[in-house]
Amino acid sequence: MQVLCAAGRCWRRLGLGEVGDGARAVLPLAAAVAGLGVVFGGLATAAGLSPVAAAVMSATTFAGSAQFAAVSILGAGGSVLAAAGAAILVNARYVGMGAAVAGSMNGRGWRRVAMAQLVVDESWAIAYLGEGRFSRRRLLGAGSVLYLVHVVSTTAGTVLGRGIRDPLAWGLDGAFAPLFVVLLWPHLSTRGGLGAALSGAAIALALAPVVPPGLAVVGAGAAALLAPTGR
Amino acid sequence: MSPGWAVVLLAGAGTMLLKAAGPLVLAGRASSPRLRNVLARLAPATFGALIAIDTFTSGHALTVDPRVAALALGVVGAWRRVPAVVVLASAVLTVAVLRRLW
Repeated sequence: MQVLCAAGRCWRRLGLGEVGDGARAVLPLAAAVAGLGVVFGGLATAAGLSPVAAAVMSATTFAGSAQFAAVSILGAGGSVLAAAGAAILVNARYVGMGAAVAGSMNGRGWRRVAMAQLVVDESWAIAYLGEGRFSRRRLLGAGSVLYLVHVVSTTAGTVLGRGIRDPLAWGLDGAFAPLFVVLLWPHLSTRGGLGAALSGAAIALALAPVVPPGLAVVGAGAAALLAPTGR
Repeated sequence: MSPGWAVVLLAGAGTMLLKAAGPLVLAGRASSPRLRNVLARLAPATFGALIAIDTFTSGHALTVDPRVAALALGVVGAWRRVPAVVVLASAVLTVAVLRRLW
């Protein structure tokens, strides 16, 4: 009789099976996700969000990159619509990712909608079985772990952020560009990704002198439509 | 309502709708590859714009300041696959130090 067993086997014994597999597969990524959650909590509170608002954003938007986009625009004095608009542009890819998963889902409408909320880049990749099929159980396992880690680490980050009075003196505004480079990197290997990024940057800089910074970002998102498709 | 809360609620509601759109509206139907392509390119285009704005502008002015060093660290870090938290910490520290010296 084994007292100790590998975590994966215990999950299997508890009948969690594939859900446990998904949760286990995402664990190596959890540290990185937690680190970014702490950074988001810190930057969001430094940009003027209350700790509760920062945590609610992680629980509802649940997509780090879009949250950083909104906070960076808000911190630079951009408008509410520009900040929310940039977040929505960054997240527009979830329409395509959700449509890809849809065929592998079952149950009623509300259940599909709830499952779809667990789709983020990492859980989507872990749930993918190949040939256009997805495991909804692996999505549930991986997505739930990521959700929990994201919200808890954001809350931890807000404690650090509250202690910072002058974000510029701390160099906190220097975090955004390298952060977006790290988030952009995987997109550069996709078809048309590099062209879209370069056109986006060029259009934003051309717009910046004449429109507010947030609007320049949202306007540059249109570069995605104009950029050469690439091969 | 504070601007912060307004952004949180708008971005949250918008994202939830985007995520729900796939399974609800497009369930079982293949969306056009062209549409998917455009949607997939919105993220890199927006990241490119954010990088440019967060590095080279200050309000309406085009500027070159210590944030350029942060961008360079980001590119090297992403290329060499350095953990994101390490990249960000070194970038923040570099900007804070350079700003004292500038």
